[in-house]
Amino acid sequence: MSSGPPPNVAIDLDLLEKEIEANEQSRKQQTYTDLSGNIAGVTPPTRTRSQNFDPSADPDAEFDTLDEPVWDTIRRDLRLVGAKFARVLKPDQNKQLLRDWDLWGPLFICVLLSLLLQGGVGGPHFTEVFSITFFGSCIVTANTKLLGGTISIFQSICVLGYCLLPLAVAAIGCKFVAFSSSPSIKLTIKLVITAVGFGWAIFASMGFLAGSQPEKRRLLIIYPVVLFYFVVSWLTLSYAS
Amino acid sequence: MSNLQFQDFNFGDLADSPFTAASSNSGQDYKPANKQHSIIPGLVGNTDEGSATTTSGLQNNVFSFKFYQQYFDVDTEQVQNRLLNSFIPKWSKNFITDYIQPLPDLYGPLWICITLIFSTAICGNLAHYIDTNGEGDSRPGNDFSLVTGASSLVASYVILVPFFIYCLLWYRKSAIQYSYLEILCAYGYSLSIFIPVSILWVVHYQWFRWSLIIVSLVLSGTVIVQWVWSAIKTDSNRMVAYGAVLGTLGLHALLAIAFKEFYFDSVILPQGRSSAPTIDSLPSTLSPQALVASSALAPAPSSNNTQENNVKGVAQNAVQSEQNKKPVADSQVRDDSQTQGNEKTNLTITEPKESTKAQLTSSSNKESKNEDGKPLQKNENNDETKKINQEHNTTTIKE
Repeated sequence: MSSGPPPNVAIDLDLLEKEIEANEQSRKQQTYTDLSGNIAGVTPPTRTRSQNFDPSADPDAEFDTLDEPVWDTIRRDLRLVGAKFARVLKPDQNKQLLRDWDLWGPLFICVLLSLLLQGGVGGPHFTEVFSITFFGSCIVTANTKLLGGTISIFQSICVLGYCLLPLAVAAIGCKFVAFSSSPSIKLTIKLVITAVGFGWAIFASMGFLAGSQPEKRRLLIIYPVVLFYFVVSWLTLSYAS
Repeated sequence: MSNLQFQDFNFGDLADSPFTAASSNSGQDYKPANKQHSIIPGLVGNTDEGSATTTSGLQNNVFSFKFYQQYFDVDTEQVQNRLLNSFIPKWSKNFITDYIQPLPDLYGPLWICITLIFSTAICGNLAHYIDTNGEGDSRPGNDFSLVTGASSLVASYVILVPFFIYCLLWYRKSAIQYSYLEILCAYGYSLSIFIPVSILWVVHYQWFRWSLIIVSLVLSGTVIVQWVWSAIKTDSNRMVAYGAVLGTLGLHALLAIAFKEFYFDSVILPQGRSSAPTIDSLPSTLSPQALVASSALAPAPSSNNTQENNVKGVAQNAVQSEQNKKPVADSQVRDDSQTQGNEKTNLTITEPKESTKAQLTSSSNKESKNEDGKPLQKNENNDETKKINQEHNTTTIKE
């Protein structure tokens, strides 16, 4: 075709580029949900504010927490962690809570599980259980990232760690069962408790991880999560007594 | 727009270019360029491997995330395809060239190995649990070490054996030289059949376990042999070719047998012996019990001296020991012992003892088999006396 003067061509190219960019962005927004979040605790000043503060000190709000008593800090963090525990135990539609990730909860749960499951005759050491739970969730996270998931690393570790809570509760339950009756009933009860914990953990983590995967690789991402919780459930079943 | 024309690359003019096969000489010289490989595809900018990664291969640092991401570039379908075809051999199909090239993935080998590690550990513990009928779930030093041992075994197998094959093919300048990651990928997928096999190994019968091994080895071994053979068959030294094929098959078999032996067949003796002292307060009544029990348990199968038959005998022992747990069912066997009141107490006391006896006899069966290798029919009496002597020895030592 006959060409126009060069400026027309330049404008066409610009428009074309803009169109392409717009298309790509809309496509990206369609396929992946928005999973951005901050580290928990660094929130807008209107949300978490201790009662003693002057409400007019808005621009310096994020520095106010440096002056507050340590007890306030600990209490606030504990409240957040407790809220996340409750959120895991009752999975509902509000996903914002787990998007503000923190690593206290997973650490606490991993240490608790390791203390419960370690020792015993022929059982794993504390280090072994801790490595399996903590670095296992890291490996599953790495797998998700490598396969192209859009969730961030720390958010994923946070979710996987928090969803271990039902299994920690199951481990505590199994320890109490050990003080009761005949072996076969004991085994059945432990099996039921552990199976319930396993199902709960899967359900809770699926609720959050569902939106972040590319379509064709969904099973590839879900399988390691299932394997991870299965291994931890087996550890709970075998060694919590 | 007239000046925007596509430039013609006239192949006739560029007869001496290295990228055309126009001249036969250059074709032959640069044929390796098409099959040029590196240890890790994508590290050198080849034209044929990993189409999307050639230009970016050089730019991806080993320490960057994107470098590893290119090896996880698979979809669910691809993984399923590779998985199924790794143990379904098809005639004249090469697993690597058909399914793994151009881009090997690391997702499959990684998660198959991890699943295999935990499935062997879990099912091994389950098998031990069933063997001892639940007497104590965790035994000394053996339980969690299954996980660590299995991980060492599987990891070294999947990493080292492909390396040896790669070195062999490279050294012999074979016709097809796969890259290291392709071989590793193939080996990772070939281990996938051992996952259901390890779950089925829980079933206690020896003949079943051996048949599982044979079936799985035939299936996955055929696939492995196919691609190894097609790479090495043009070797000038036939011994190397056959040796490579047999070596890979042998290593595969060795892995399976190692799993079976150490994880599913080993009977824990120390726990068994430790329960003996509580029963040794009645040695006099126990010896005819021992004699009769061992004669009930010991009859080895009739004539053949193959190992299978003897381990069948072990299976029979195990099965019979479980049967003997029923309290009074076998009382006719013990008719030559003392009074009935004594019998019943002895029965109740010797029940746990019988399991240990079964273990001891099974182990001594194995030992006697290893030592003699002869049919046990003729030597039954000798064996029985040997066993009674052994049991007497252990009881006396315990006291």
